Amino acid sequence: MRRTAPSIRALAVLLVAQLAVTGLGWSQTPVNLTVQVIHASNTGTTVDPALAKIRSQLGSMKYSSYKLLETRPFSTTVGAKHAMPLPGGKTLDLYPYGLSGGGLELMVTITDGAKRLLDTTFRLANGATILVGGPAYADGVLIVAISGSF
Amino acid sequence: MNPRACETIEPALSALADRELFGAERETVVGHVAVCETCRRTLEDYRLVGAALREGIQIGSERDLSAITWPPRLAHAPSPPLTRWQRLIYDVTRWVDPWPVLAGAAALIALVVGVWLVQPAPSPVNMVEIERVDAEGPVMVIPGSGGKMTIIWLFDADDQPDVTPTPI
Repeated sequence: MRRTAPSIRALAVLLVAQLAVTGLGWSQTPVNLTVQVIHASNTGTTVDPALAKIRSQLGSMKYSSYKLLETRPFSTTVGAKHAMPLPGGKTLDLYPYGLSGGGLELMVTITDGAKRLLDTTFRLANGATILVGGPAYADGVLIVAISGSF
Repeated sequence: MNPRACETIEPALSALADRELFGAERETVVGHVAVCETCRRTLEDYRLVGAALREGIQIGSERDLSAITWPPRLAHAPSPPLTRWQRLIYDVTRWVDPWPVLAGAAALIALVVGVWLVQPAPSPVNMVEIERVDAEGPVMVIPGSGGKMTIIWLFDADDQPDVTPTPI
């Protein structure tokens, strides 16, 4: 029987262990998501100071008033599902399901009872934000801002 | 007899005994031996020794060598000839211990693979890439802020967007 040098065997074990740790670490990658719920209306002309980072984007919409209703940060991992109630009885579901191409793959649904208002998948780069607007609420609409860092 | 004459003649006595001396030199040596008792004895000794040596060689050549018991030969099969690769490996490993070299190469490969796997992938140019959008009503996707922010706007089923939707 052929003998293998101990140093070669040790290196092979280290290499396999490193590959295993790297591969398994994919699902353990921490993901921080922040969801901001905004009420946009034409009542008044105030823009919440907390929305300064996205104010320029809000300015392209047809509303004059933007109020931050809620900010909810999520510290989660890839593969974990989260549900968040939205004003007006709607529900936001977040499902970070993968990492690829340097971006977080995210599935987002907004439901209003049995109605599925939105069902989308997208890839979000680190530090990027997506705004989902349009669902009617009170005298205006809801805008949901989702940003991620990982 | 003059001892100096004996010292001069003595080296030629062996040649005379072997019958390898000729001419005037031989006559000189023979003349000296005829009058010198010491050199005559020395010549006689040379002749006896020469005869004994010749007789010994003669006896040795006539011996039956088959009577000798020779030591047994070592019984191992001859090694097969090395192939080209075996010879190359032999030549290399003869001077260099291959295990440290192989260990170093394996460590280098592990390092390169590890760095390649661990390094973060480059960020996409468009920081939000919409893959799929399904909605109850019309949808408009608006890329903005240099690709760092994207807007998905949902319209009621009976509502129509007032701008051209961006193709996905």
